[in-house]
Amino acid sequence: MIRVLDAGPLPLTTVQDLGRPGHLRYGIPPSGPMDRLAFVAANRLVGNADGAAGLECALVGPRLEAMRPCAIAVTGADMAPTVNGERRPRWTAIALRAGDQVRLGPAKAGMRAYVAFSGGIDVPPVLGSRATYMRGQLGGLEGRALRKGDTLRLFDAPIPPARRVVDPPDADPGLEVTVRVVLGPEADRFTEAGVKAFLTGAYELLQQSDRMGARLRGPRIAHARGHDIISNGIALGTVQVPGDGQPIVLLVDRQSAGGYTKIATVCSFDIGRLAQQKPGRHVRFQAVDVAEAHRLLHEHRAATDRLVLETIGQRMEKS
Amino acid sequence: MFYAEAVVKPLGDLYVTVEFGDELSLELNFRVIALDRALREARVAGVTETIPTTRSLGVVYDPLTLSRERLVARLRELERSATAVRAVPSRHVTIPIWYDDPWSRECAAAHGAPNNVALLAELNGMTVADVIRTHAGTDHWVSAVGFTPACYQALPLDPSKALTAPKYQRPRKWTPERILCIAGQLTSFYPVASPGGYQLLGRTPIELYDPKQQNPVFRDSPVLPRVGDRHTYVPIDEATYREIRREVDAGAYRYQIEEDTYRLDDYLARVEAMKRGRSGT
Repeated sequence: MIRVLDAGPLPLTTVQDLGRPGHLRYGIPPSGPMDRLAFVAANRLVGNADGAAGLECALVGPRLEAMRPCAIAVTGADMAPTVNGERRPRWTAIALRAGDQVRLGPAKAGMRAYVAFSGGIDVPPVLGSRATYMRGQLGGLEGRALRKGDTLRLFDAPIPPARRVVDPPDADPGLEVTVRVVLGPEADRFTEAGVKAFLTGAYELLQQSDRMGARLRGPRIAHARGHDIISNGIALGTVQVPGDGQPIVLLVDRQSAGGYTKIATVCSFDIGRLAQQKPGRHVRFQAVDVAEAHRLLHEHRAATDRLVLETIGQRMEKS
Repeated sequence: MFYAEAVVKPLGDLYVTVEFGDELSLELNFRVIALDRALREARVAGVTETIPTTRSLGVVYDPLTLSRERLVARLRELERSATAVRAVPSRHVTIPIWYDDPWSRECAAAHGAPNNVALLAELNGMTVADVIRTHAGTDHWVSAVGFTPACYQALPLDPSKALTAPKYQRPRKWTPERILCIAGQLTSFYPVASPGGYQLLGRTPIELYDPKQQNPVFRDSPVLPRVGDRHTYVPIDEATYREIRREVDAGAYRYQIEEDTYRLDDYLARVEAMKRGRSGT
């Protein structure tokens, strides 16, 4: 069991697993981690299956207490994790004793940190998933973010051998993160200059961004003939451009359909890097065709698979 | 516009959309539903999810299992047989509505908008009572579900009963939950409190979204509306609204849902009849 000593002033830490695909037809988004690679790495470090439930912490992390021995791993954004006040490495399995206190601070680099617990968090699955969908009040802890005083039950599991990810991805995506997009399906509804602005401009990530969508501000993307369409489906990463010419990238808690023109879709393998960008910093879009996107997807999956092999047999981290 | 051949477009690396045309039409929606059913029945390895909307079908796939070329070829094959479908299973769902209810009135006033039902009456050249009679006087076809859970879009099945409504010039900051609304000729619904720009018609005492899945009608999904459902909206007064609401709160409300089939030709015949009626006057 894990006790939540402090969850911060904002509801920003949620239980997530790999999400609930299959319900978009009812308007229920998949949810799940924004940075899938970091989430999966944390689970593998503590010996869990990739889809075990853990925590996603945005911007600032919680303070937790282990009620019994377990192992945790913290990946993704750098929230300077400590155990009983002492700094601990990220991307590394850490053994906890009963009574140990873990603290994640504000994100120094990146935006979202992941905490996996050996065994995984035991909350009742809803539609086959433990992922929290806050807008729909579904999954996780009663469909909401963590609060002070919550307890998280863990499934029984052996304490895994200590290991770390040898060459973890950089938590900081940089002042400008470039993500790959496939243009369409309504790119023809924009002027040539509008598409060019989208592909050459730097777009500031706005504070109002959340798990539903990343709101951006930058060079205006001009429509050729109106911004309203008869609403149709929206994918993970779809870039919607309403009448003000400013793009919104739709993310894991997105709506399943929408009536604004869509200029492009960010490739699935770049969503994690976009998810680590902080408000106030910038995003750039680079067009690739579908064949190239599939080649890159293949590479990305291979890199995710290699993550495991490199973690075995590393130095022990004692707590 | 109906496209001569469905257009398949990519949305990134994991999703394609099959688009049948660019208008609000039951005929286009039938093609979407037919392809959706055909694709689900075919159980194509690598297709993980399909999302029917009014005029297009979204398909989520894993390109490392199923190449885009093979997916598109399969979609073409299924689409050809699907266009022949003239009848689909369609549930008939009865939904009580307190039209022009005080929550809708208050919400409109709080956003500086005129009474929305009165506005509809003015724009459609009829009385408020006529607006309610007209809207409740036809079944509405659920052509898409989504945006938020249990939000939907529905087309009037009797085209002579189609109202028209503009969207709000500035979207509202909030709308109470369980409000039925309209824009263009599409009826829609706010299952949970949310921003929005459709004109407010009335409020239902029953839930169409139940994340806790308490009523047995939500056993398979917390979302009640399905693409291909037909809704009948029944005008109710305040007393009935409150009575039904008490039943809902007590978990005792019995939803009125009938399994049925709907034939596209029934609709097309109605459209023809209306055209004839018009040219005859």
